[in-house]
Amino acid sequence: MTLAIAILANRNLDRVAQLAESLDATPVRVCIHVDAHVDDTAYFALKRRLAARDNIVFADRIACAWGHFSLVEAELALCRKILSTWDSVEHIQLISGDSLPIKPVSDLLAFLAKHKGVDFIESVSVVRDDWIVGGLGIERFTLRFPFLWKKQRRLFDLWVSVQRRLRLQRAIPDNIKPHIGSQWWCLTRKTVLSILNDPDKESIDAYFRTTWIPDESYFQTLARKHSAALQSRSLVFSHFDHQGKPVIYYDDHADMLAGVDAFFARKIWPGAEGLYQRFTGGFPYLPTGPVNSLASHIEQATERRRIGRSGLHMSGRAPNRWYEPQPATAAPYQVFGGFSACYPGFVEWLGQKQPAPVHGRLFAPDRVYFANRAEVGPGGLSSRPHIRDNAPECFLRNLAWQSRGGTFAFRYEPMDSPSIEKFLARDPNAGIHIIQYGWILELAERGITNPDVLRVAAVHLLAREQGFLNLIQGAEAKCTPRIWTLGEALSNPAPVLSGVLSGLGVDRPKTPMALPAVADMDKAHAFARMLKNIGVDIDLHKLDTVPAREVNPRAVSGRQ
Amino acid sequence: MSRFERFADSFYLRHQRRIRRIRALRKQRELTLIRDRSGVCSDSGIFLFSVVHNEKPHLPYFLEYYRKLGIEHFFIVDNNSEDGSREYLSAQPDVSLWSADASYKRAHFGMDWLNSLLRRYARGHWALVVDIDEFFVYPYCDTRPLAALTDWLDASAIKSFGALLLDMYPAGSLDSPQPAPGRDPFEYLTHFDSGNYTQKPNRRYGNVWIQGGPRQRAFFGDNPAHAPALNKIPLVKWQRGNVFISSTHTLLPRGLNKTYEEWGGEKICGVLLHAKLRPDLKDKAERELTRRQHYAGSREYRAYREADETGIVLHHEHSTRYQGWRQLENLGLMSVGGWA
Repeated sequence: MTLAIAILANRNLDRVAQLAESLDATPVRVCIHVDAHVDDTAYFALKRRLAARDNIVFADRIACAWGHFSLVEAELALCRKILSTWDSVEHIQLISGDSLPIKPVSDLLAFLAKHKGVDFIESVSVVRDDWIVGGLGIERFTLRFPFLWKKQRRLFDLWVSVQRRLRLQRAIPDNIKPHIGSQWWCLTRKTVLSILNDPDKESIDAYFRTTWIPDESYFQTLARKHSAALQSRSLVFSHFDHQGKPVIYYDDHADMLAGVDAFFARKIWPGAEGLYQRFTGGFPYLPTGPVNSLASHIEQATERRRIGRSGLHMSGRAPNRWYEPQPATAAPYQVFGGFSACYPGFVEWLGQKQPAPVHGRLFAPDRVYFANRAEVGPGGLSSRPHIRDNAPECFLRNLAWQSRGGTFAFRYEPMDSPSIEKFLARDPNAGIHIIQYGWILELAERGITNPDVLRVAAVHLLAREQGFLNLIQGAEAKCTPRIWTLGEALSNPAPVLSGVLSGLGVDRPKTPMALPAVADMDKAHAFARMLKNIGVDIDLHKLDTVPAREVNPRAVSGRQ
Repeated sequence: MSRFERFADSFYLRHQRRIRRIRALRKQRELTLIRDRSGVCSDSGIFLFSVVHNEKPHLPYFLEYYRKLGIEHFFIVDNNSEDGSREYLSAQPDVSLWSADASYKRAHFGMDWLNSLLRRYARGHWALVVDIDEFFVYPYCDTRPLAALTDWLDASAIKSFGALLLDMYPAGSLDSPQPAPGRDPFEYLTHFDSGNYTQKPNRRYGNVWIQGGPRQRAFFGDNPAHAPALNKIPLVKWQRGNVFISSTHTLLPRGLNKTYEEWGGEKICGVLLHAKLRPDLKDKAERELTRRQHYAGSREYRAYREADETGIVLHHEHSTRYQGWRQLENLGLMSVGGWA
């Protein structure tokens, strides 16, 4: 059994020569087609370099254009040359000049000997056209493409849209069923002969001449017609990225390439000296270390380009504000308002109950209170208020990015900077816990005696709180709000605090949990009544004691 | 934006571009050729463009670093060096050197000179435009030469490549003893801030303005909006009509500034490791302040000098030690963006 390798070359002829020479060291025949666009000096240099080798021949040169029938003509020329030169050839493997064998050729020969008379050509029916990445599907066959995509792009696009608009569709000939697949096939002598001698060849060629990218459909369609035994797979590993561009391989892919279930790989970067040495030389095939799958490596890079990392803004990724499929932040987080006033020592208590960092008031006017009052926070975030206020959304997004894969919590009180409110309300990652009127206790602590000053401060805080509550329960809100009244929080701390813990992913403890200290209810009442008396619109019912079984947070939306 | 505004905007930018190009032509007269060795360059070579002022100790490592990445030729403008930089550079086999004795500031911080060299020499080439203290890091830079990147960018029809300017600092005080000249500066400047960068889109030029890092944290705490910009576009496939507007932050035509994806994905981008915070910074700040040739009234250098009196430690408990491009990629400071 003899195998002939047909090589389609159009550039980097030094590398083509290297490939041909390495193949010539094995018992295969090699036939090279060099694009007629390549200048003659390079071509004749290649010919001279390979002249002494009897098992390497050259096919007639044809000027090829990408996506055009001339490529099929070049492939046909290769087939004709091989069949007329060597009677013993049983299989023809088509590869490109920028491919390399990634397994010893002897393995391929053994494989083909085991599968005598089988054609290996990826061939997918076009009706299910998810094979095609970024481009035309069935229209490759029903429209006409007289213009070159690379050189006459405008005419090409114009002509496609004219045909679409005027519904100029042509019928697919009856004697073929369009199939499509990788350009790089391995066919038996018998199949290739039948394709070359098809009685309808002239009309079929005439049809394919004006289809789009016939090099991915001509042999793929005709092999279906003539093959006795066909396996729809390519022996050449050739991946396309999300733009439909072939993935290029470099030295650092060597081990991954060696692990691929195929005999050749394309396309190799011409400067990848390491790959050329490894795969044209003595074939030290075994990977030198643990190997990642090449396909998953490619998949990862594609994901980066298509979807990116949620919550990340950087030089290469700046989602605009209309982009919403992903949350604006990288990690879920919990925001607490009014808790430290009701439960002095709440932050420390929460820090002990669960592992995530609990920051203080990140948006306080005087500074950023990171956990432990650090001067510099995670990722190098500054505690200086001006830096935070220069870009508050970036600040929070950066903090969330530092906690990606985990979570964190912080305090946010009505006296803090309002610049982050809208962002919090719109972020589905935000769990917002508010004890309504919690600020009353904090205001009481300040010991303001002048009633005018007190009234102004209280009215301001009341309005801020109400505004924030409206925002997080509003139509555009995507956060998860949980709201308790001061009365509930002071009279029944247990359900409130266990709700807080479950929001942070801590299960309800079986034993009764140690609670933080609780502020004095009577004092709160007295101060609230005083505020009401000096003219602040306080709803005193919110301070009423509530029986434990009725303590439920309001406005808990579906997301939890 | 209304149709009229769009038209007015593009008219303004076109006008701006024309002015800059004429300026570059005019400022070309300030350049005196010292050594032109560019005659031997290949058609596909990658070129580097830079302005030098008294950088002699840092030049050997700079040239070595970029030669290793595969820079074919260096085009350098020497602006009044007195420390032998000029002599050193003119002796290098792959450097073409010009001198410019006129004002650095009035040549738009050297950009006019570089624009004129780019116009003359870079057309059709990939051009890397960096300062002497900037070291380019791109995906797979440990295993793939720069030509692998530019070939891939060509195949992907990408014409410009964005990078974050990442300020590197030492583990101790900035004034700690300096390593021997000619050594890798990042043996000493080992740490960086991994996640305190802010992004602000600039509608007019279509780029994203990035600020942050240790310089903003330590020197611009009260005035963060004036902290230096860290968004750069150092690598550009140069075409007729391209022009840098302000340093390498902004380019025209403005399509070249869009090195980011707006709809979720990540475009390929890299990092410029910035070796600015070297121990000789204090001397440099003194010198530069008398020279008065820097951006925004040399605000930055003044901040360094003032802060310097107490001795600056930029290192903190969340500082990250530099380990290579993969680490930067994982931290989200750069991206492979589709390049497998």
